[in-house]
This record gives sequence, C-alpha cells and structure tokens, in this order.
Amino acid sequence: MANDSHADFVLESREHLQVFERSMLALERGGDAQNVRECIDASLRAIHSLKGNAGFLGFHAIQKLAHAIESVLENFRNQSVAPPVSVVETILVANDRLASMIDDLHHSQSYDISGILKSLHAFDNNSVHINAPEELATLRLSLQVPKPPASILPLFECFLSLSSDCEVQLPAPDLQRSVEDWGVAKELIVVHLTTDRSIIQVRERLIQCGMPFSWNDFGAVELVGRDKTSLEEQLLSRQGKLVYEPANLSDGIPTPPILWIAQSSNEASELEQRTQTMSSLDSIDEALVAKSVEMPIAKHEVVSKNDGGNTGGDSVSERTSSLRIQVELLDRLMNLVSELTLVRNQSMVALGETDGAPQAFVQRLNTVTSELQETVLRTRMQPVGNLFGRFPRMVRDLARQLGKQVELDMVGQEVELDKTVLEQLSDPLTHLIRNSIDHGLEAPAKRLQVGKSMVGHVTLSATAADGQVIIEVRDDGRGIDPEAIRAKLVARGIKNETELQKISLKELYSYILLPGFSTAKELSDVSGRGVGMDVVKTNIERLQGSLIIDSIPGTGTTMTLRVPLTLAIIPCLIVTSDEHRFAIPQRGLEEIVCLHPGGNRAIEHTYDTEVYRLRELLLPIVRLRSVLAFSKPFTASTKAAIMAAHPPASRDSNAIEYILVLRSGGRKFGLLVDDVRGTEEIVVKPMHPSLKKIGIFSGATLMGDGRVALIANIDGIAEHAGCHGVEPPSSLGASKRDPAEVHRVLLFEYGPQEQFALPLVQIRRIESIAMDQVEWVGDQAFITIDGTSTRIIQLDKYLKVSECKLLPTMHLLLPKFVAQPIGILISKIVDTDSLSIQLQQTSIDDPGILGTAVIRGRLSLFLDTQYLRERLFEDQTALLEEDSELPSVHENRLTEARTPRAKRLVQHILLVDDTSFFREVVKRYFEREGLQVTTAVDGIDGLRKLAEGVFDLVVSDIEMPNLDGWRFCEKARKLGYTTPFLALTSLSKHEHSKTAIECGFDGFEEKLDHDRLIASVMSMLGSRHKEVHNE
Amino acid sequence: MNDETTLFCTFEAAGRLFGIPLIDIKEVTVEANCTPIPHAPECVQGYVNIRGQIVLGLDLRKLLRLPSNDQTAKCLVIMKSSIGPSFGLLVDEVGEIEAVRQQDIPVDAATSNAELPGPDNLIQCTCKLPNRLLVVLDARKLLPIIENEIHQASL
Repeated sequence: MANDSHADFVLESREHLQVFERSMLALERGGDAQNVRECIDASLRAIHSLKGNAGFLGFHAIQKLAHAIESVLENFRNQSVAPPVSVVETILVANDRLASMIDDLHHSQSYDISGILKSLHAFDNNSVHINAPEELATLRLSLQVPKPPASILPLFECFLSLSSDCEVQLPAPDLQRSVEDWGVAKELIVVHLTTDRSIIQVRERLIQCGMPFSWNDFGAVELVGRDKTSLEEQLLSRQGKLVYEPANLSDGIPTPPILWIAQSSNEASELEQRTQTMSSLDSIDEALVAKSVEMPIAKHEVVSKNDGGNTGGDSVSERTSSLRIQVELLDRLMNLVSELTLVRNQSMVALGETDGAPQAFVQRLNTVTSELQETVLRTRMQPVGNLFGRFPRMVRDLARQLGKQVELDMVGQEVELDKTVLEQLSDPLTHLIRNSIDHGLEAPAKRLQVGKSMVGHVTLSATAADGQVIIEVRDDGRGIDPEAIRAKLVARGIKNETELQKISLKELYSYILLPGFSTAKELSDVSGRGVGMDVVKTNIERLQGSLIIDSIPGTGTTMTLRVPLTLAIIPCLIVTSDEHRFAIPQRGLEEIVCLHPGGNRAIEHTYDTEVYRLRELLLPIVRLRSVLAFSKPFTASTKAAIMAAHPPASRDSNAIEYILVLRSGGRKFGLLVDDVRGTEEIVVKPMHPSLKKIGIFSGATLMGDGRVALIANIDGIAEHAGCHGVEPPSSLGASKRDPAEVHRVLLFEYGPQEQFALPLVQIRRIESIAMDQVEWVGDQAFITIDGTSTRIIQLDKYLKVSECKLLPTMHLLLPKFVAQPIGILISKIVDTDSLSIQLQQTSIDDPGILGTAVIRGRLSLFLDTQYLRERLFEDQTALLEEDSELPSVHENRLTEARTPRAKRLVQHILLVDDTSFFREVVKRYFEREGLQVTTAVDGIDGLRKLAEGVFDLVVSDIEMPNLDGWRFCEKARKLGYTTPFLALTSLSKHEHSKTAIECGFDGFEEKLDHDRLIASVMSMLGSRHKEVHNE
Repeated sequence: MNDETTLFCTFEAAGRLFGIPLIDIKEVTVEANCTPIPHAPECVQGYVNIRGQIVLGLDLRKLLRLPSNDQTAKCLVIMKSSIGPSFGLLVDEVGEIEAVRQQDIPVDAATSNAELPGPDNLIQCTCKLPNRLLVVLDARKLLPIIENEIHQASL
C-alpha cells in the first residue's frame, strides 16, 4: 500500500513538475501582466500540490524545497511581475533537483539541498520565516482559541477570504483530542503568513469581520528572526498597539484568548531559555502540518491527501478525462480482442453456410469486433507532444550554454505514436536537436554577418502519412559543407576523387551516419555536424525507421525521421515451408521471384553456393526448408550437403517455388520458399524468453485461424545460413559505370516485333480496355476513360513499326504531362525494370522514337509522347511539311553545328542535365519550338559551354554529379553571367523554389511537364528578347 | 499426527502418474493445436494459442525420456506465471486432484526417484498413494532444462 501511494506520488509529481517547468519557461518568455499572473498561478498550483503530497507522505526534504520555490514565486505573484531571469534560472535548477529527488524518492531525505535553498532564499528577503533554518522567508502564526467554537467559524471564513498571502490549516478533528490532552486549547489554527504585509491584512480583516479582538488581545506576539525589527516597526507604526512580551512564553503556557506565535528556528541565543516551550509548540505545529487538511486559499481547492488525489488547475481537468492504466492490462485486453476476432472469424465461417437471420448478427459482431480492435490499438498511442514537451527546456538550456539565441517551433504535437516507439525516439531526437543547435546554428554575431536574424530557428514537426510518422528537425543554420565530407571520405580512403564526383549530395550526406565517421573531430569542426550520428541511425533503424539528411550550405539542414506508427503491428508476407506458415516482415523484402517449372531461369551452382541470376546480379539462395531443418549454423559441409540434394537444373518437383529477395544489412540474398500466401498485418508477440537464443525467429503471431505462426528474423536466417548476401547495384554502384540516375521503366509491346519503353515518371496509369468499347471516327479511335473521350494512338500509324493484331482486350497507356487526353494502345506489358537510361545512337530514323537502349537483351524503343501528341492533334499535313524541315535529332549530337533556320530569330538554349534520357526529351521539346539547343552533362561541362558560346537561356537540372545545379548557377552568377537561368528538376517545387532564387535562378519548373516548361521558357526568352532589343 | 494435506494436480504420461502442486497450476486445457518451433530442443512441442495468449508447450514424455508412443499428447497443463513465463506441459491425460497428507510426501528425494530417469532435480519426490505412485515434479526446473539444452546445442 505504502509503495503504491509512493508510486502514484512519483508519477503525479512528475506531472506536476512538467506543468511547473512549462509555466516557468512561458514565464521567462514574458508577456503582459495577465499572462504573467496566469503562468505564476499555474506554476504555484503545481508546486503547491507537490508540496502537499510530499508533506503527507513524509518526504520533508522535497516538501521543504517545494516550499522554498513556492515562497519565491509568491512574491512575484503578489506583484504580478515576471521574475527576472536569474530567479527563473535558480528555480529551474531547484526544479531539476526536485525531479531527481522524486526519481530517487527513498533517498530524497539525504539530498543536500541547503545550497539551493540558500540561493532561493536570497530572492525572498521580503518575508519572515520559521521552522527550518533555511526558511527565512515565511511567517507562521499559531492561533489559539480556548472556546467557543462559534467564534472560530467566522474567523476561519475571514482567513479564507484573505488574499493569497496566507495559508490556513485547521486542526483535523481527531487531533483536537490530543490538543486537549496537552491542555492548551480547544481549537487551534495555524496561519502561514508569507509576507509581513499580510499580518496587517489579517488584523484588518479580523476587525472588519467584527471579531472582537484588537492587537492587544493577542496577548503575546513573538517576533524573532532577522525580520523581527522591520515587522515590528511596520505593525507598530500602523497600529501602535503591538505588545511584545517574550516573558509570557517562558512562564509556561499562556492563557490569553488568542495567541499568535511567530517563530523562527534559526534561534538566537536569546531564545534558548524557552527551548522547551518552543519545542512543544513546534511539535503541535508539525502535527498539524502533517495531519491537517490544507486549504490553499487562493484557489479554494481542497487537497484530499488521503487518496493521494491532486489538485492544480490544468491537471484536474485532465484527470477527469483520463485514467492511468497498466500496460500489462492493455496487453491482455489486446490478446482478448484478437481472440474475439478469431471467434468472429470462426462463427462467420460456420454461419456463412447457413443463411438468413444469423447473417445480420455476424455482420454486427464483425463491425463491433473490428471497431473494438481499433480502439484497443489506439489505447497504446500517445501524442508526440508528450515527447516534444521536454525539448523547450533543453533548447533553452543549450542555447544559454552556447551563447546562442534559439527559437524552437513545434508543429504537429497531436500526432499519435505507439508508446514504445515514442519512448525510443527520445534519445535520437534529443541528439538531433542538440546537433542542430550546437553545430547547425551559427553564433548570433556570425548570423548577423551573413544576413540572417540573430535568433536561430529550429523547427520540430511531426506529420502522419501512410502508416508512418515523419518527424523533421529543421534548422536555418550554416548547413553541412559537402566539401568537408568529400575531403574526409578521401582522407579515410572510403572513396577516391573520381568516385566522389559521381555521388549525389544526398548520398554524400548519408556518409555522416557512418559509424566512426562523424565522431572524427576534424569533420565536425569543419562541417558542423556532431558526434554519434551513427548511434542515432542505429536507434532509428531499430525502430524500423529511416533517417535522411538534407542540407543546403549556408541555408540550413533538415533531418527527416520516418518511423512506423507502431511496432506492435507490422506488415508481413506469409509464406510456407512444408505446410508450416512463417511471417516475413515486409520491411526487408525487395521483391518476389516466381520460379515456374520449366521456366527459362533456374537456380544454378557456383563453387559453394546456390545462386539465381537476378538481372545482372548473382543472388545467393538460401532454402528456408534447409534453414529450418539444420538447427546448427551452416558449415561448408552443410552447404555441400544441401547443394548435393538439389543438383542444378534438375528441379525435382513440378511445383512452383518462390524466391524472396531480402535485404540484410544492405546486402541482398534470396530465400527460397514453397509458397506465398499473401500479406497480412500481424500483431507481433515476442519469442518465449527461454527460446530467445533461437536466432532465426524474431517473434510469433496469431493467424486468422487461431494457430500460431513464427516471424522470421531475416538477419538471423542469413547469419544461420552463413550467407553474406551480395551487394546490390545501388545507385552508387551504377554511378560507377555511368553517371545517369536510375529510373524505373515500363517495357511493353505493341506489334509482335518491337519492344517499347517509357519511364514510369511519364506514365499516368495503364487501363485495361475492351476493344468493343472503342468508337471509331474514320480511322481515328476513341474510348471514354474517366468520363473523357480519349484518343487512342495505334503506334503503327505514326511510327515505322509493325502492325498489331487487335485482341478483344488490350491495354491503354495514359501518359503524363500531355495536354490533350491520349492513350497509347499496348498489346502486352512485358515488365518494369530499374536501370540508368543511356540512350544509344541509333540508325532508326523516326521522330517519334527518342532513342533506343538494350534492356534485358532486347532492343527497346523509347517513345516521344510529345511528338505523338502533336502528330495527333495538329494539322497533319502542316506538321509533315515542317517535319521534313526539322533537322533529324540523330544527325548530330553537337547541335551548335546545325544551321539555324533564321539566324537572328533563333534563340540559343544551354541545356544542362546529367541524364541522357531527359536531356534528349527536353532538347526535343525545345527544338520542336524552333530553338537551338546545346547540351552539357553536368555543371562543370555547363560552365565550359557557357564560356564557349552565347546563350539566351540556361536550363539546368539540379541533381547532378561533379557540380550540381545550385552551385553551377551560383558559380555562373559569380563569373558575371546574366543569362536567365531556369531550374529544371524532379524535386518538389515548394521545398526548393526558395533555394533556387537564392542561388540565382530566375525560374523553376518540373522536368517532364511539357506545356508548363515551354510556356515558362518562352516567357523568359520573350522578356530577354525585349531586353536585347532595348539595348 | 499431522493431518495437513497438499493438493496435487495429477496427470498421466506413458502410463505413469505425475503431479504438480495445484497451487502452481493456472489451468488445464484439452486444446493442443501446436505450432512446432524449428531449432528448439526436441522436448519443446511448440506454441499453443490459449485465448489469444501464446503458450509454450513442453512434451513431458520427451522431457523425462519416457517411451513415446505414436499417439500425441492432447492435454496441456499450464503453469502460473509465478513459475515461469507462459508455458505448460503437454501430457497424455489429466487425472484427479489428489490430496496427499504431509506425512506421505517424502522429504528425501534422492532415494525415491532412483527408478525414473530424466534431467536432474526435475523430480521432487514420489508419493505413495493407496493404489499407485505419484511422481511429483518441480515445475520451476522445467524451463531451465530447455535453456540449458539450447545452450548446449549452441556450443
């Protein structure tokens, strides 16, 4: 019982301290008098409740410290003045001390708080004090009334109506007896007066209430301590009636009707003679303090100490609508709900066979169960505000310590996250924010120097999207210097110069997260990023989240955390091996390859491993069945035995098998399973503690039919099988061979002969259409899609390609970025593939073909959708005439060599893009508008070309190796080029348009949005043209 | 004479009668739809779903290396959480609750369990009931046996 109430006390006190700290920080920010008063009130309520509870439970050290804080604050409340910074600082230190005492409750008595008490009292010299030597600031008076009870009530009421300066304690009924036994008085009231002012008030109040006493009636007023004189003087000067008779006390128990005693325990020698009396009185007081019901007058709140209940404005209302529940209980509830779901499933199966009335039943059972499950899941969720709440204080302290000015904005505090995830986010977030302030933000002077406001901004925001929570820590500091990272990478031999030139900025920043990389002091000094980012990364990964760093040097850094809403439920792929089901977390799953019997690809053998040719990769294969069968980690002989049992190219059964391509620590391997049953969101339960050592499983879960399935641990399986995996051809790997970005491309067929290709970014979607729905107007075909009549392109009519035999159902590819609704007819979708598109020089001379590339051993034609659109909608004859005039794209790569049609009118554009595909597409856009285009492959090439020719407009990609678009433009501007620059990018507009302007760009457009791009280019050229003429 | 009795939950495996003090038993159920756990020791039968809670089922016959007939165990005796985290014993048949007088519970285990093999200390004692013998198991020793076996296997 005692422990229960102690645990409650700790929890409650923490809440009080949170409220208190928040109010203090708000107080520090200042505001009008009203605001200040509210903040002080809120903090007083919190600290007062804490003090009361601590006193009740006998934690006197905590009580004492809380009391001292209260006293200091009360002074400021009386004046409605915000405390100066030094006071807030001290109070916050005291607050921290209180927090640690509460955390270590049972040793709280032994904490040394004299130092902090002393500094608190230093701010509190307006008051008299009693009781403890530290309490130099409180006047406590005992009021003794022999009888009649009737006179006590008005007296008490009169105290209640007093200002907040005093605090009245009524004796508890059961105490009355002991008081009687002691033979002093029938009734007794203890009044704490916090300022000397209040003694006057009390007296005036008493007289106002018609109480029949004057100061003379008090018999004896004992005023000792350092404020004695001033108090006396005040009383005397105002009233002139104060009688001061110390002798009365030493004579024994005084007998006047009412006795006010002001005590001080920093007893001077003059008091020693009455020690006995004093201690007797003390013990009464203490008994009263300990047992009585406290009445904080200011708020009329009753602290019911017995049930450990608590008061204090905000938390009262919170308490009524929330309840503390043990997590264990929730877990059990969750189990029961999943069991209920099971019963529902079973009854649905059972009742599904019969029909009629039960159906409605089952339907309702179904709805209620689902809702119940959702609700129970939500009980585990907590708003991120709970976590964010601690940061304002941390930011404040850190800013002060570093001599910086920082403003912390917090957005999206109401976003909810699973409790366990929230708890584990605390450390990484703390670290990231520290980093932002410590290394990201510049010192105030430096900020002014570079034209920023003195106050640095750190924004902490949370948003929920797609079952994930995205938390962003953004600062407007100096950003990360990519050069420093490059230098560091070279110095540590991780990358050489040539490799570095091909790394994108984002990838470069990700190296900060390498273990041991960021801890290197040189780097953090130069680049401004701190220590232990790898720890952050590890923590985030443990949460199955990710961390992305983005930075613009000089402008700021954004660190984006993505974490799942909950760890308790994860999406899994359910697979089987020998009829047993296993759940594979989808997080590690890249793709699934289906092995058909008689298919053209099978598992092959290298020297000691089974592999599968996954595109250009030799994917090592692990058989789930073998992993399950051998409980010892695989040795060379185990592997040999497995390989012997599965000779290559002799698939023993006719069954279909599946290879799950899994990722384990950045490397890939294939897991061979018998069957894939589908995906499911499963509730994760940990493995039994006695079985924790079994590495190949990470937990268990209940399936819909009530049976248990095991959750595979991908890393554990790879380790068990001794499979190191193969490093996937990451974008980095690809960039070693060519600098182009990797794109996903759709491969499809129209006629039987050719394979066509189109990047997914250019595709809106693909529809399946029935040919009998197609309407014909002459030889033009239309079909209604989304209520719009869409023109169908049959490729053989516009390109020199083979004819297609029309089937009853065909596919229609709807391209993106075309103004009029068109669809390209497809007979067969081959596949999608990720590759870096490098268009080949080709002999195919067809304006509708951008170029070709060999994909999966087949020549694939890349379509020019804009050309097709124009062919469809423009006057065909006119276009054809112009067509013959248009120089062939493939004639010559160096367009400078081409002769412009009209020398003065043709304007010259420099197009800088590292991806040959986009370069080609955009170049064609421009050429079709009659513009002359020169291309460059990156920023450095761009600068060279700029120097060589005269251009009316520069259109540049942003993400490029060697020299990216931002820096290319910056450099060009520095070199004095005034040519308009248009940024062309696949990045989101909103995020970067500001940066674009700062770097010197004049405009910003999305890469493949043909119409917008052309409009933008034309308007920029138009204004340029005018300028030229004006000159 | 001391008339105090201890209640035992009794169950059968391979024709022998076993018992665990009733105070240590949470529940007895006939449901035994077990999901085997690869890599776990042989005596681990698998996971059983008991009303949404996953319980680890141990096969008593295999634990005690008793002769194992083909018929699978069908009753699960689940221990209280004070004995160990959610686990139970799969047994052939659950018997009566037996009240054994204190004087009939031998103190010296060493002499009474000589006839039964099985991992050390698992058998607490053998009580002589009027018509048959009751072998009393120490439920707290069950999980350590599993852990030890996994440990041995990993060496």
